Amino acid sequence: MVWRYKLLLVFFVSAFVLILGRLFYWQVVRAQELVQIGDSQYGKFVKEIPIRGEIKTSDGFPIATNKINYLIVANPKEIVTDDIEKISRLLSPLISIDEATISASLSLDKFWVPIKYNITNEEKEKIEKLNLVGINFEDQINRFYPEASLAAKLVGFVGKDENGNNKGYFGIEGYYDRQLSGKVGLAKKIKDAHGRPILAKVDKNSAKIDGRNLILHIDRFAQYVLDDSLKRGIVKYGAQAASGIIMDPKSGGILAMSGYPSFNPGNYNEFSNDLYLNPMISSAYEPGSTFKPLIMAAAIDSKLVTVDTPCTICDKPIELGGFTIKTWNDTYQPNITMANVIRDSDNTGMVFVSKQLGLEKMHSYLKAYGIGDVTGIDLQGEMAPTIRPVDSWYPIDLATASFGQGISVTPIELISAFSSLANDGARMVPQVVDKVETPDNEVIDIAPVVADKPISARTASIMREMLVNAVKSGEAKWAAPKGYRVAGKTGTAQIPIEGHYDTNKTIASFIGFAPADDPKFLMLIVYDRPSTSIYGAETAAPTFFEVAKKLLAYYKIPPTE
Amino acid sequence: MKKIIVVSFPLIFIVIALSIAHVIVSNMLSTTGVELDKLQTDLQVFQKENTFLREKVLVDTSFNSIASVAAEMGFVDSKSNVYLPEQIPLTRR
Repeated sequence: MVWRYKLLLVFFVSAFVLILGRLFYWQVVRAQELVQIGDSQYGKFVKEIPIRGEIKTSDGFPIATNKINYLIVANPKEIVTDDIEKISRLLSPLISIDEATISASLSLDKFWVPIKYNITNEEKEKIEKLNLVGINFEDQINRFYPEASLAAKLVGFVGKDENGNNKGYFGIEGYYDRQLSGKVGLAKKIKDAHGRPILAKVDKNSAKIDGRNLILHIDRFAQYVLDDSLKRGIVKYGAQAASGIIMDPKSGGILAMSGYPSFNPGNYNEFSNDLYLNPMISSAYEPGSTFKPLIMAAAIDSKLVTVDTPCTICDKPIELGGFTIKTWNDTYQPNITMANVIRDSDNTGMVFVSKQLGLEKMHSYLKAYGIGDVTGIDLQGEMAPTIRPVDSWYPIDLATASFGQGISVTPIELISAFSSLANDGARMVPQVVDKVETPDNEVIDIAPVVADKPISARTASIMREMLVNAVKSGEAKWAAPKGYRVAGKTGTAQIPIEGHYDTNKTIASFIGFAPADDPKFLMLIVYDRPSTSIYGAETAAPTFFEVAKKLLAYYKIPPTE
Repeated sequence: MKKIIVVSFPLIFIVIALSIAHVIVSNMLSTTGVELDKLQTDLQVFQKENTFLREKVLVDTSFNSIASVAAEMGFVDSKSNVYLPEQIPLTRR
């Protein structure tokens, strides 16, 4: 009898182990797969696309936001063949697509055929009134730029990546793409047996997170005035391109940045790709005389020259390494003082300064000014031409660099370096974004950053007076606003073409700040190859002062003289 | 036998009561989804309407629009600004 009990015991134990094993297989080994199969039977996961963050100017106006457009889709399986012609005829004038193209789309053997993207709400309502069978609409969230091309090169645009998802390109849209994009969420939609939705558990970890808003330093008025002046200036002076930056020299905040010709970020694909680049941060040029104050400041800071130091080699053109260095008007002033070298933009005087300064010192000051390095501005696409190592400079390079030829910088590099003259010697990192606003309404401030302090406050003060004198008595004095102390310098740089400089093709520029004693703004205006006049004093300077006058009134700064 | 009845009746009553409660709660919850769906649809409609209105407001208040409307109305740039110097005291010693 005992063996029977034992057999029964073995049988039950074996059966138990088998069941246990099977349960382990279903509940542990294949658990994940079964959960997915179960989920798919009563619900489905849907992607929740986050709302892209807005880009706002300092007054809170969104210069980049989102809007709803529609995609017209057809379901040809629902459309009777005899109706195709009628539907095509009715749709054609409303969506500006020829009848044949629509007819071809409606004849396809598919359930879903896109007919036209980016239909406005008004257009949608007109089409809906036609009650067309088989024609439907799908929502599309598109980027919307209410100020159209205003600051387009600064803002960038939103295009598509290789998977068809939205992605920011260039400027702020490109640099801050991750912050603006947010996080895609996964939501579970559960339905009952009749397909009706029922409450579903929301998993917090997979919830979507909307993009963050960016609040810029950009002042919408300053931006508009700069854009407007450059647009008119490019036509008035017959230039190939025009660009400008306005910066708060104390914080490094970019108040305006503009470049023409430009594009409309709302329909960027209708413009040439070349226009997407922001020349302010990605195009290098030889700055010409606008570079002189930086070198002069270096020499004064090193105590190698003073305001009254006479130039002992300025009585005639200078011969150096087989080249002849002349002044811009071919007139020479023996013993010209350093103050007047800046006022009269004397190239021979700057060669004198460079000789006093020497290569090692000039090189180290250039580094401290940030020349040859990116400024770190928060925009996509910044580049900076490097400066050669000390041992590869020839005496002629030292001489020409002193008056801004033979050395290349980007406009943002120059204005960042110049901020040290306007800000007691401290060079600021240019910043476009001032604050970041999270979806929870938390505001994160971005603090100003001092990049370096290339010169002392005393040197900056001396340079300020020299630059005020340059505006008051220099070539562009006729355009300066009366009663204001404005510090500034013109620049007319020849363009190197095929190994030589073309005297008729120049980059005309003006850089300066106002009010000189307590600068509210630092501005750089650049015209590429102006044709009505090649000089900065007759092209860039009038634009600079036109914008400056409006800004001084806007900031409610009264005249002091 | 009496003991069994004393124990069983409350148990049966509890089971029936809980079953009824389950049916009532399930019934209530089953319509919540539909209501929620309706609310979500309404919300989407209002959100859309707000987006369209906001778009219109932004376009109309953009500097480009204001400038063109101002130009049409005959406004021109002010060429000169008037500044009031520091206030002169009424009497001086």
